[in-house]
Amino acid sequence: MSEDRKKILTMVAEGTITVDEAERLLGALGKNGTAAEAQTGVTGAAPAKRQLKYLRVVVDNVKGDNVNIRVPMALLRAGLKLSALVPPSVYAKVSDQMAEKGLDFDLNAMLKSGDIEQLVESLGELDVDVNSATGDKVRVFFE
Amino acid sequence: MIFPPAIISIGISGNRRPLRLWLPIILLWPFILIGMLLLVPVALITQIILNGSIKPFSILITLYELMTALCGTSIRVTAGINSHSENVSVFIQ
Repeated sequence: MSEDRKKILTMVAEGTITVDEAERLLGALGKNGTAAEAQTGVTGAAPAKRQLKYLRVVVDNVKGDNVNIRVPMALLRAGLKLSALVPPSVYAKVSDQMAEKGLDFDLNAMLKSGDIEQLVESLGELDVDVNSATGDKVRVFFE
Repeated sequence: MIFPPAIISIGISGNRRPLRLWLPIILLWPFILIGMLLLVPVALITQIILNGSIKPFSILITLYELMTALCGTSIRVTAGINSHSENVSVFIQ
């Protein structure tokens, strides 16, 4: 028995923590490593996922022209889902045409329905911030 | 059950008299429903003829999802013209 497990069981015996808490700690210990990590929930624990709702495109122009667009994530998901329903033969043709133009990637493999959610989730990390020399700003991000 | 957008709100303001329009697209829901119902037999025939190479029912469902997902879309454009500005906003809810 490891030192950490002994420590948890001792804490239960002393009445410092409840059986349920000990169960959680032991479970976390199995996954993460040390009891200290499990107890604090800080080190080694996966960061909480942000619930992304909108794609935002904000354009600020020094002359006062501004564009502010908010697109729901559900719309992106539905769009990707729809594109995933295109028959593979069509994707092959599109991929060939794109390869001719120098864009060599397999759309069919990219838009499998199972990967869409992963794709959308990873978009949350995207943050495009463009500042031009004239002071114009473009920002694309998720919130 | 998730429903398609009910209202499109369009606003135009600037130097001229401000304009605000609420388009009750909720009135179009029955037509969307009828259209969907009419497309079901078409989808069924397509499914049979093409022998599963295209999934028409999945396409129909996803198109409906696409419509419902429009809720919350917002577009605001401001044009700075000399000293004043013109604003156009579109909000789907």
